[in-house]
Amino acid sequence: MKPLPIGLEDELREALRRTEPPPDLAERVLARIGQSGRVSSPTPSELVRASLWSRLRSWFWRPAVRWALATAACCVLIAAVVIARQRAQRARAELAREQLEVALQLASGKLNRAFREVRRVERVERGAPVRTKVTRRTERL
Amino acid sequence: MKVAAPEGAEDALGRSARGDPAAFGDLVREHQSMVFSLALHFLRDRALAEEVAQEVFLDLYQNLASIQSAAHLRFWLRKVACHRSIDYGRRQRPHVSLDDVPEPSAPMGNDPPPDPLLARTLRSLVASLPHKARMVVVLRFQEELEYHEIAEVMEIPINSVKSCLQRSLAVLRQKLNRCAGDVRYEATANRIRR
Repeated sequence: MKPLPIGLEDELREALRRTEPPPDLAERVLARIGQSGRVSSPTPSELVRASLWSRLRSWFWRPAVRWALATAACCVLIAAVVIARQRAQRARAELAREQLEVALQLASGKLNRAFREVRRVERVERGAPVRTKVTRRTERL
Repeated sequence: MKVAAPEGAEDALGRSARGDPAAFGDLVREHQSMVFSLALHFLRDRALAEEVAQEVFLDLYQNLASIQSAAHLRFWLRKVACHRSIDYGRRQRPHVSLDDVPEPSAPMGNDPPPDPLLARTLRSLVASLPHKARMVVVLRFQEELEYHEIAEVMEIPINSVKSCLQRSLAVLRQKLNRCAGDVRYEATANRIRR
């Protein structure tokens, strides 16, 4: 590998030395200001407003403030995601509870019917009269 | 160039803020070299650099109320010139007219005269850097700003400035070495290696 240039920084300083602009630059700037009709001085209220606005803007654009805002935005985003997940989980739990209730009701009905059938079979085996719907109705009459 | 603000600068600033066009003209004349050179070394186009400089000073005129001191004015001008130049650079076509760039003025003192060929080569190499890196190099070597000052002007972290500058210098060295391999740049390379 070839040796690196040692005086590069000095040479850069030399190459990037300030250059004089055209001599009439200031006059042209003033002429443009005159054309745009802004030669009059700003009013005190304008000054205060501009000052406040620029202070606010410079405060807002400070790196620390921008980092803080970005961090806050991230926190809000994460919190929103967590809350949305919790809500979805709660909704799923509600649905599961309702389904369980229906399932328990169905199971209860089936068990009652089975219990009645078992009792009927026991009575038949003991020789007791089987009480059907018809006999119960005639008994009531 | 860290030149202490002249005593009249604050006065000129105050008078400009009160709407004195002559005082504003003085402010422009005082800082035009800095603003114009920043744009010129970044854009490498004299007409565009002049346009940028004019816009920066028009912007300054509209924001005079927010400028608090001469130091703040210098910082503000550097910042706006820097961001405007980058904006123009993004809009500009990649064409770079090397012949438009005048040679820098002769240095003061007993320093040896600069090598115009080397200076031109370096400027064209700087122009080949990406926008952010190019502006960091220009702020560092034209304005001789410290890392934290460059970070403030460009609104980037100081570590980015350091890494950007190191990378840019490495690229420039590499490209310059490649140029030095060419017969055309032999004299340039000898001068640098001295």
